[in-house]
Amino acid sequence: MQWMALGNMWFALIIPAIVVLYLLKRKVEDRIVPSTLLWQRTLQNWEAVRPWEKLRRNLLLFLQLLAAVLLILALLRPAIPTDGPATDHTVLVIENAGSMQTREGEQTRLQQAVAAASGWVEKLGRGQTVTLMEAGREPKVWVSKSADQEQLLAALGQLTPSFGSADIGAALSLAGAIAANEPGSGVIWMGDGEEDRSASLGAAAYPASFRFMQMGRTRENSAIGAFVTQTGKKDVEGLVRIDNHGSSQSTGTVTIYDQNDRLLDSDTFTVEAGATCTITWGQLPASPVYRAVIEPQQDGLASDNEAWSVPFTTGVGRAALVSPAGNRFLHQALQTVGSMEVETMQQPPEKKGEARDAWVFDGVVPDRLPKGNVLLIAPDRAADWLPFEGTRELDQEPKAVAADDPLLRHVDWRDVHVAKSALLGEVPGMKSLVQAGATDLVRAGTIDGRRVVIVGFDLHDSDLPLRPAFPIFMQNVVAWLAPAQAAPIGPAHPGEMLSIPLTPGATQRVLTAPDGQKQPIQSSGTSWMLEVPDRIGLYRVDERLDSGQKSRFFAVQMKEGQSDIAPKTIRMGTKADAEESDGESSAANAAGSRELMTWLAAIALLAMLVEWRVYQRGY
Amino acid sequence: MSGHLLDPEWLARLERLQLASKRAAAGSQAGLRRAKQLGSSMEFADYQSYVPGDDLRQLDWNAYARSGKLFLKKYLDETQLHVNLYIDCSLSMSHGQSGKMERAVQLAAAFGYLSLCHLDHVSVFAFDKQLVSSVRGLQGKSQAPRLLTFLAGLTPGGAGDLNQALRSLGAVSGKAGISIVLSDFLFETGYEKGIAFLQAARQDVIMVQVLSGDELEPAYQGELRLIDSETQQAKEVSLTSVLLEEYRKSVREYQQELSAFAYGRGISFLEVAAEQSVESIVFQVFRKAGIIR
Repeated sequence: MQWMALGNMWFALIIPAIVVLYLLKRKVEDRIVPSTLLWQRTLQNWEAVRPWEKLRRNLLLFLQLLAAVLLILALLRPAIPTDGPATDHTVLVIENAGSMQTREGEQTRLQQAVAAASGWVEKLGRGQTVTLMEAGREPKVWVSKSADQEQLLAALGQLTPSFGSADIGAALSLAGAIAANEPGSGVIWMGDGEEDRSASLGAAAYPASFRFMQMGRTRENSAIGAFVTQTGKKDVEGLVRIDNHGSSQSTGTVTIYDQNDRLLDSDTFTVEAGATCTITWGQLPASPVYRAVIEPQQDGLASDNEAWSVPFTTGVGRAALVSPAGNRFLHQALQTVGSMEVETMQQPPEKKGEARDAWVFDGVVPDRLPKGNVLLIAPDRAADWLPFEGTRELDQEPKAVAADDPLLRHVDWRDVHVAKSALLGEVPGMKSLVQAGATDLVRAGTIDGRRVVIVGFDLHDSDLPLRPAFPIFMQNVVAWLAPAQAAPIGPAHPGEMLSIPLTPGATQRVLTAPDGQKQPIQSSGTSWMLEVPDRIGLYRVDERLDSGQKSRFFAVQMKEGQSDIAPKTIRMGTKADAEESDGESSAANAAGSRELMTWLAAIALLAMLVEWRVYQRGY
Repeated sequence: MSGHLLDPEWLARLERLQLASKRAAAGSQAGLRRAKQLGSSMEFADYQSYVPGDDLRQLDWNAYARSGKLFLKKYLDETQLHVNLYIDCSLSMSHGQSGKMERAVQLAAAFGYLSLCHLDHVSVFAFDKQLVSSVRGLQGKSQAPRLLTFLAGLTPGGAGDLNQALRSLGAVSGKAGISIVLSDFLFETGYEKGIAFLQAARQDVIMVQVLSGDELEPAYQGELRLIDSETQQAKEVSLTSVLLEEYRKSVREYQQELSAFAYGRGISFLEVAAEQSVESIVFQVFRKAGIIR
């Protein structure tokens, strides 16, 4: 026997309340009678002298107590174990998020859920059907309303561990919608509840009966919350943050490895419950990537005990400045703003395939776009990719129309004056950043996979180079045009979209997954959008360049929230359910059960009818 | 009330009845014994003016011849009966819609009237916890208006106490006779001593208990505080059918007690419901019980 709503036990107070009502002296109406002599004889046993009277045997009292006890039992929602699903059509939802990989003894939570679901499917009665759903990053229906046990078991076998987060709300909503379409449906959710709470989903109006089967009990878990490394002058500095999500102190060792799995350093840590600690290293030998591993004594989830870090380095990019007339301002700015090795050219290169991180064209428009990102200044003619429409004298001051764009960050256009600017037609993928009246002065965007910035005016026709805005603007432009040098890739979380900047001019690009699987990168532009696979670990991007092979790393790690593995509950249904305390009852729910609430309530109603009848007859 | 205390139509029927008590029987036997010595037993008492309805055989024709007026010649008769009527005037007799008091007064009027018709001496005593008022020594039909006027003037008083009232001064006449006690017999202090005192004064006692329907079969329900009209004592009851059954049992037991007491002392005891009509009480209940014939 289980009690699904033990929290309603408070209703038991009605029993003493009923008894007190019988003990309390009654409120009476005065009536004058000729003589109470005869009543005195009758009342010898009935007389009430004190406010309390002896509890007499009273049929009404017993009936009321019986009805109250039945009601209390009904409110406690007792359930008896049954062998299979109680509804005709069951929507079986298996949660598949990073925290479901927590080990509970021999099995992970996901394996537990799959085992429980398999047991469930095997006990399907005649005419009972199951819809199998996985609540992962996106809810996925594996099998729809099937009574075929083999098919269901096969689908269960295909569930693979996921390290991302689960969209609980979407899965709940989909399961509810499926159940609502089918009368006599129920939703059974197997999972550890996630950090997301159903209370915010308007749980009270869930369209079907909902049962949550708690998978897992462990809450002890330590995780690497952050691992960063930074290149210093000589050595590399590293920092590891260890989070203890559990309820007791966590101790263990933390070890740092280099790219070739050579042990670099090791340390011990002690973290109080719910706290974090930080361990730093000052002198790590140089390596393109580092790996930190913690080995806590008590740990539920292993996947978050490993983290990778790619040291933040500012590489030097290569830029080409094509300026037939020469431009001192531009040359100086490019030299100053950063990590750019600037090569000056009088004419656009004839040779095809020459690649730079960034091309700067000043008063020259190339016939076709070169390999690499482009900054075009003062275009003076049309090309296949550039709809040039002439020049226009300007009488209005420049004004930023997309002030929140990263290119215009901290750039002040207020004192800038521009004499004339080129008129350009619409270019798909480009948007206007600065305008003077109706004329676009600065545009930025993507053309043919390349990042392109167009400055419509000659710097000599403007006082922009004399303003503080100029070096800042150039810094923003260069940083945006040469991101491969400015920042490492990632880190990323499973299932996210990740933009990977590509080195221009590479002939072959390959993505290598942690398990060694290689995937060619088909992209002609300077960035590539990758849907991060559901596998955590260190990924490598290899690019073959004229100058040789270039490898970059990025780590795919679990989301921090998944490390909090403490079991939580999802509640759907009545308000009373939501008020119930966490945890306790849920573990018992793992077995199938049939609730007796309806029967108890019916018997209680019957008892009340009898009571009413007895009251009427005045027994 | 005086005019309608008794319905004139059946007064005539009442005249034909007479109280049949053991004392009365003894009186008539005494008369039979006196018949052996004729003339000595009949003693002249008084002349009395004739009123219509008097027995014409008792007219003194000699007196008529002398004076031209009709006189009845009255004799002191040894068999004459002393009838004492005791009416309970306590508050409990008046309370409620049933009118126990009214019924008791009507019964007293009936008894008194038929006794007057038979030239009995009639005395009426009203009491609550003491003697409230009385009229004594009425005799002859001509006294009927006095009797009725007296009865009509009775009003209910305070708390009742039969024992104390009957032992107060002048409550009992010295002469042997019939005493009829009309009461509900609901006295806190009991009734036994008072009745025994009456018996000791050579009275042939008839107890008539007048109870209202409300008392025999209460019609009220629910949670009540019952207040005694005389003593103001309160009793709280939750009137359920179970308790009502208990109450009916108590009433039966009490009447059985009264009846047993009466039987043990050779007293006639009658239960009368106030709702019954006087006619039916007199002609059916009393006649059946042999009190009147």
